Amino acid sequence: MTVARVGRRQVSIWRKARKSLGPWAYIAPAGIIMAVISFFPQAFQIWMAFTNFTVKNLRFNVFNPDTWAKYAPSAVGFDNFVRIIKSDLPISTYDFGRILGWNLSWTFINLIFHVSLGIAIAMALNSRRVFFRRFYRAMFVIPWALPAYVSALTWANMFNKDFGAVNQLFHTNIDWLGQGSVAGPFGGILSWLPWAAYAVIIANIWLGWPFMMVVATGALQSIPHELYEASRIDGASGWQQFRFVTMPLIRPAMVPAIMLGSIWTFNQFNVIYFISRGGPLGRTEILITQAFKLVYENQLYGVAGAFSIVTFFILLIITLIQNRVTRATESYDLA
Amino acid sequence: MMFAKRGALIAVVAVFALVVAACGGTSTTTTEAGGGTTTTAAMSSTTTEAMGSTTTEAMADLTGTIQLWHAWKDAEIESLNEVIAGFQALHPNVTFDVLYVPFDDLQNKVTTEWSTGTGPSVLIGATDWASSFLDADLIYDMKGMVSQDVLDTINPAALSAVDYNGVYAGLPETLKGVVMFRNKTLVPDAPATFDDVLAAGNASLERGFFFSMANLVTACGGQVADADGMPAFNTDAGVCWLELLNQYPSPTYNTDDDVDTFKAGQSGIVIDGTWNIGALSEAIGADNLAIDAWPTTENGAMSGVVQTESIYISNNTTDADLDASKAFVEYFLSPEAQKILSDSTKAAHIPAVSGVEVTDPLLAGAVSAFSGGIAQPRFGGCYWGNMDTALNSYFGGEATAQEALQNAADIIGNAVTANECS
Repeated sequence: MTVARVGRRQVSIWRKARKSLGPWAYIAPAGIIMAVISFFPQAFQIWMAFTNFTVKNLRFNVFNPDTWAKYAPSAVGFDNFVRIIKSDLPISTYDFGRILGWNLSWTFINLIFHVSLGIAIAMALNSRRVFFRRFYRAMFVIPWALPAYVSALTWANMFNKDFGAVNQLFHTNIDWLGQGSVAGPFGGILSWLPWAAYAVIIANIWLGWPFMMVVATGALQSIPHELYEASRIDGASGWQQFRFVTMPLIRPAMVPAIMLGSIWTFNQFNVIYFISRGGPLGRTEILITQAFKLVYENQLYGVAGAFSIVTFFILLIITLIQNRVTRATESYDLA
Repeated sequence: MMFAKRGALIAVVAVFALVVAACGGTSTTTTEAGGGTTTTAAMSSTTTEAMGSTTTEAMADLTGTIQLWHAWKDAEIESLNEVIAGFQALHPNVTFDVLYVPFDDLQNKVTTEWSTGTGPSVLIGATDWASSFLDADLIYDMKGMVSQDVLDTINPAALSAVDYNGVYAGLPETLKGVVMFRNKTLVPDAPATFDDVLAAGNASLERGFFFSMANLVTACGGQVADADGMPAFNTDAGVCWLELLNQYPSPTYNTDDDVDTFKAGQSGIVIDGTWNIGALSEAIGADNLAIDAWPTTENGAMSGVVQTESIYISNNTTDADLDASKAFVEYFLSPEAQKILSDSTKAAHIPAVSGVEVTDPLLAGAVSAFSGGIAQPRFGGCYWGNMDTALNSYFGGEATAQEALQNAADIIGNAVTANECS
């Protein structure tokens, strides 16, 4: 390689850099803001996860050396992670295995209802024989359009034992959200689910299916009607049309929506926190509400940082498995 | 090309402007022609302007802004505004930014704000937050903040509640506590014994930890925590306490359902805090409302926790704002301000200072009931959630009384030892 060639390459890189100054300047605002409000807090949280950061360390300021000696927390290595996994935290309702198990069940149960109801109602409203289709679509989107905490608080009131609409409607006296009882309506394999678990599931089903309906509606409307006509001519039954025409064609839209829905549901803070508050006895606690309580009620900031990292990796694993199973990020060849 | 360069320049300037804006304060102060000041802050819910200055020019020594945060309810806010107006009559150049924060959020919000150098200069909040504030180095020692004359007027028992090894973490400004309310129309005679409460037939009793823990001491002869903050409830007295609570009629658990039923005239006896005197009076009529002495039980008497509410000054407060804050705290504890706060139709606070006579029958009833109660034990935050869990697991049949108490004691004890209870 001659000196002249190296020189030409350096000039070329310099020219490229100069040419890209404009684009860099354009993305700089977003980049800087992202660095300040997103990357730095995340890096700080990762650091906190390896310390015993509590309320005593709140005055610690990484940019102010005067605070380092007096307020800096001590490094504890992986201790926070070990305590989280071994359920060794100063919270008597905390059981990592139970919370994770419920969190996964909660996500799975909700998604089944969200997707099946969403597709079924979208198909019903896609029929030309239904009058006021647009009106119904608009009405059905309301649960999704409302702020989730408003819906959650409304449902919490509806499940109130003494004054709630649910008990009044069905003339029952069920203590849906009673913090004192973990008893549920069913025995056997469902005996671990208290009434509150059904309350939050009902509320979240109501909250979540409209999103799937909207996605499914969009996908259904993009299916050429000729495909159904051709399948009918070939003698396909209604079920066969759904199985071999509708399903494959709405799949590219539904799979990413399901992945998104699973992440949203897995982290559905509002419904759990505002309806059951994770009770009774922590039986409806999910990872995200527990992380919040570690900060808000227990002020164990270091543990909470570690907890968020654990939650992140759990979600990452779930997403990778989903991605593998559904091939969501692969292209589809419809030919 | 020229256009691209100009665009890039605009983008850089925009980023700079954003960063500068983000780093800037949230409040702006403007001086008005009359000498008074008004302050506009993003978080301010109430801004009280300076009163007329003609009569108080001689005392218009102080300036500055007092950011005051509290969790008081509507009726209390009326009294608070009167106190602020009274203070501003003396110091017209001091302005206020008053912010209401729901009680459940207040401690966390203040802790977060104070630790980052922002937040209120003065806080009215629960006394048991003091240890957490001290741990985090967020408040001033109030011993040097007000004159000895003022300190001498404060109820000694109340003052001892804020005394942390000689450091006054806040100053008590009112006595509050858990009492037993009765609707005289539904239950004409005050129940003398717990059996009378049961016999009344329409009581709805709260058995959450906060509302019931005093019974552990007075009805069962136990204690919640020892002098070191270690659990002391896992004894026979603790079992006696849980068994007593298990007999509560129409029990509620950390909800307002019992209060709502009482307000609706559907129950005749309810256990709740004195902060609801105004609301209950309004709902069923002050003439129908009574606060009774605690009924006796087999081995003692029922009771409620008596606590103080404190006023704190943030150690972020300096200069003119600090002088104004100190003067306001002193005024807040004066007989004049405490008289305003003891108005039973508004705040209905029981003064924590001497020299203020309580004549209202409801407040007098509360003071009388307090004599049968216990001062709130000083323990760390680990107790609240874990004790409620112990109660829940016992009432829900998940554990026996001994198991529930022992489990809570183990977890709390470990946390106290590990210094994780602030």
